[in-house]
Amino acid sequence: MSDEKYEEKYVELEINDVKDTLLPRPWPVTEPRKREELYAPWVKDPRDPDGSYGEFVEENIHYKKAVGKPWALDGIIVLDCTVMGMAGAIAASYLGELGATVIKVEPIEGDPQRYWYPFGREEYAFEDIYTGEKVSPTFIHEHRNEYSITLNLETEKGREIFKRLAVHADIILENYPPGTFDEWGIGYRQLSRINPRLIYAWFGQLGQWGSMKDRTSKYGQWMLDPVGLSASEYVHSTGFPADLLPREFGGNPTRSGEWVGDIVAGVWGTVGILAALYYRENVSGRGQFIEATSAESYMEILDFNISWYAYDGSIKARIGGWDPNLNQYAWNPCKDGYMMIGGQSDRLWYRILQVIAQEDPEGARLIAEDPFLKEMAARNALEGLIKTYTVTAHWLVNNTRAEAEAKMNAREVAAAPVLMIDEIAEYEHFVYRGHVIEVMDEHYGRVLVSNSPLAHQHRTPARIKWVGRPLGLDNGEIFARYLGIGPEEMKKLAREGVTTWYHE
Amino acid sequence: MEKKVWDPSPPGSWSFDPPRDKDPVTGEDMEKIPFEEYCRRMFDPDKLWEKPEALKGWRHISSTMYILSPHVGATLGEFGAEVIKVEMPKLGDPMRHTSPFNEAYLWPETDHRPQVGTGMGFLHANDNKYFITLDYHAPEAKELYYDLIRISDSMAECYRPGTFYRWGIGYPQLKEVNPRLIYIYLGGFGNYGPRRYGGSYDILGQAVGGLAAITGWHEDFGGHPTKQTNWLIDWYSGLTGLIGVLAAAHYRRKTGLGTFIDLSQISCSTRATGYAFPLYGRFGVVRQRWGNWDTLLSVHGIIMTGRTDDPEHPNPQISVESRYVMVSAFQDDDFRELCYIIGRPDLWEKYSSARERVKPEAQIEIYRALEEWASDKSRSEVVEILNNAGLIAVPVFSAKDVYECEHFWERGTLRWIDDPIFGDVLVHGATVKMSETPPRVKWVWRPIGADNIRIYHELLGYPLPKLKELWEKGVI
Amino acid sequence: MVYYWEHECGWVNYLDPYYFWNFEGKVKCAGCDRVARFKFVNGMLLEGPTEVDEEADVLPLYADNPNRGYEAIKVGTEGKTRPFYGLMRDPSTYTGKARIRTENFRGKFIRATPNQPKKAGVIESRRFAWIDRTKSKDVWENDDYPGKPVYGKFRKEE
Ligand SMILES: [Zn+2]
Repeated sequence: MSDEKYEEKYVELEINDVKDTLLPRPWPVTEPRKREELYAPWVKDPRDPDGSYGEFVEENIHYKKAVGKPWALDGIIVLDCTVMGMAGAIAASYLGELGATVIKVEPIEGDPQRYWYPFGREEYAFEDIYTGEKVSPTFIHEHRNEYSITLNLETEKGREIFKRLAVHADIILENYPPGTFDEWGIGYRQLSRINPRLIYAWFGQLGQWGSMKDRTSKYGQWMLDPVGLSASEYVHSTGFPADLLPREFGGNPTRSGEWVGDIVAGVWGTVGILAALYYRENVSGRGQFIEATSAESYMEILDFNISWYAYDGSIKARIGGWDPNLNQYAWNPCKDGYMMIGGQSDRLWYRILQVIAQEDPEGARLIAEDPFLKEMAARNALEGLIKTYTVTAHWLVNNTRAEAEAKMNAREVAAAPVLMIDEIAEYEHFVYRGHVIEVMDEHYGRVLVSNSPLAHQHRTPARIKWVGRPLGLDNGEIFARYLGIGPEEMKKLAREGVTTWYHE
Repeated sequence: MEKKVWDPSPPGSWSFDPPRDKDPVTGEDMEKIPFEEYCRRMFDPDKLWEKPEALKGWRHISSTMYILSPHVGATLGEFGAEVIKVEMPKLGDPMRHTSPFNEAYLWPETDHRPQVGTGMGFLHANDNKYFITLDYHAPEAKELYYDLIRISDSMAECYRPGTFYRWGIGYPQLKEVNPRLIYIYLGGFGNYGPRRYGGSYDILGQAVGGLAAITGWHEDFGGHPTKQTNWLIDWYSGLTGLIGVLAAAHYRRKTGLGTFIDLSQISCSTRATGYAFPLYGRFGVVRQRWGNWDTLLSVHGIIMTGRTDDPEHPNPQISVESRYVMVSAFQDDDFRELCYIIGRPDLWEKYSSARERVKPEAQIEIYRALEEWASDKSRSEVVEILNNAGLIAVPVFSAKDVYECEHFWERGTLRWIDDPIFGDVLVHGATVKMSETPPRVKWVWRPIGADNIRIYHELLGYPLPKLKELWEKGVI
Repeated sequence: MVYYWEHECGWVNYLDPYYFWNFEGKVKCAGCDRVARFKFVNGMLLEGPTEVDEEADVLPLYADNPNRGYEAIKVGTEGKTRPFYGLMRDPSTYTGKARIRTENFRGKFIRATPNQPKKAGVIESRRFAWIDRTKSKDVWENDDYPGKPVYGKFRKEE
């Protein structure tokens, strides 16, 4: 794609409506270099002098070599009954990407996530090519490799069908308010009788038991992320301190831009599920009850915070783009954005200083001479952070991200720009590795999605086959395959409001 | 800790007798008791040490540094695997030198540097491990490492791509030694691609992976991208890698073959950006930061109240900062109620459609009204008013609030352990609750090389004089 | 660009990058109390430093003096530098040095104090039943330790 063509399109744009600004970009605008160039004989590589390791990896690990390889969780059947929350979706998509058969069981009107558009803008909806049915990009992105069926669990008939489905399931994921499924007679204690091999995972914010368990509002609204993040001191310790950024500009405790509490709960739940699967297959032959919450999952990630409090009553405070544990290890503003530089050990720390000294010898002198900054651990003191980052930012003001990155990388310092979403989609290395890929979906066409991090494997790589599905698309197949219910009975059930009859 | 008498079949043991019909102790009908009581018994933290471990017999070699890759081993260890951490002799893991503001250390790190402690930063990514030393550069190291790999199920490493291969212990070599081996590499840029030799950290993953682009206050409000506290991308990517390891173990049962997993933590960060990429790919819209509010729901965000709960407290984290509340009322009924409570029924009339109130202009107006309403109230007052009205509001907890929250103690999430070396340490135990095989923390970490005899002599069977020789050469 | 503002009095004031990234106002030199006006826009210094005879708006967080062996004015020195409230405890107890303790928050033993002597054993090996949890610091501090480690010893022998 040449530059002029892209420019031309931009100039001709006439904006009369928000819709006019929604222009699909070509992707990727710049193709990454070819393998032959990256591994050419003149590319000196001290760790792989004869190129044999690079060749092995390219031949066996590259995500494009994944096609046709076996699936790690082949034959495992997962019923994903979660709605609204992200944790179940994350768990289901990881299991699905690794080859499990994941069936998303949705209420008749569908998972509300389907209709949560960013900033409420319906223009951002993806449309089913066949039916024109709209769905939000969130749903598309998080429910990959999942079949969709509709089943009204609030009806007796629906629950009976669900029980018959649960007989086949290895794993059930669920995030309804505590006790809902149990009340309906389809909780773990009922299902484990009809299917003792069942692994049943509940996801939530705070827990389904205990003095501060999940609850609903008096109108039935659920607790969703960031409730767990708030209750786990994640929010308290994220964000800029008012000393560095006044409160009115955002120097407050800050939540994550994405629902990361749910994401880590989903990942922790998946780890628990797979450990339970290992135990079931190798030892007991029996499943178990699992519970993963955002608050507790994130607490583990907060690492030493609570131990530090128990050590001497210290409460981890927020410190913006810095880190109180390592120096250097921060991002600071630069000429065209923010630049992250990291190097804690003496070897790396002085390499960073050498780079700065090239252009700012006085600043580098202030650091190099200071006896207080000579010892690695002492540099983590607050004064060490302030002094080091002030001098570093002084150097960064005259450097763009790309310049700073090139200069630091020339000395093997781990440094990288803070990239915006479009820049990530274009970053050569990520395009080459398929961190972001385009999926050709039967119903939604070309969809740009972030790839599974487990896509790069020798034997059983994770793959995305399709993105989120139209509501109830797989009713026909799943009902016939596991329940022996054909079209005639399905239509009858649909009339009773138990399921829907999907036809293209 | 009270001592327990060993009993081969304790009445409360659920390992092979799940309480499906009746409680083994009280004889109650488990079908009839209330659901919450049922959960309490299924997940009872006091029964932790009476239950079996999921990964008994699994052995994992952790050739790792920092948080990302050690975390794989630590979690395997919590599930019952035997995990052996290999460090450079005398130097150890650089993470040992990280402590918040250089203040909190535990001793000893090693006998060689008596005045150097191990920082709090090292605390949780290495629990339940055995610590040995090995200098991979030494010619003897390769055979020692092969011996460990031969009897192991999995290994994790984090050195720059190709380093292990050059040392003769890369995946192509190790899969000949042990074809069952699940080898996971965890790093930033991965094993192939134009920038494969770049080093990485958690913060790097956040910066280039996309989380930084969407976290923090919008630049129009004067905000900057904010780092998610304490190493999200290290911890969560480590767990993602572990999903790959455990799934590969499932496949290995059928085939007897291990695998190689090339995990990039940047990719994990990119995976956690929600709708950002579909939106960009289809419409060219670049997702931005949106502070403490939500882009999908409104009201569903964090507000500042006027007063703190305890203005007299000596710690500024309590006296100044305990003033934030998470308020969630995004469904119509809840939002209407909220508007009436804060005395702004006009907002409900204006934004009675859920789509309308998620629009940026609406959010700015609504949250401003909320903060104005809260400006003469304290955190607990706001929470109380909203909770009493039946709405959802949660205070933003600090470590003190978490520590004092009964909920997490009841559930066994917070747990004092009696560490064999370091004494009374508070840890997050049992992160994921499991009814039969709950994970558990046994010790937080051990000094450099503390288990050299335990592993090289007692496990591998090397005679002590041989170890002394290796020790003197600096190999271990 | 004057992020580290080296005043003519010889003191270097560190104007931390986030606070001063977009800033217009007067800053007082921590060394000599004279005030100067700055204007930063997106990190670029557009005006200043111009000395003015007015009250300062803000103090720097930290300053030191290279000519006096990097003598430092620490964070929160009254009238010189502004305090940093984003700390984990009462700022007056903040030291930036290892806190040596034998008791944790609830008064139980914790080994957060320098090492006890090396026990016998060929390899620096520690069993699980190791040493007494004595709390006497005198015992711990009086012991001799082996000298500095000899790195890369085996390479020399080759
Ligand atoms: Zn001066």
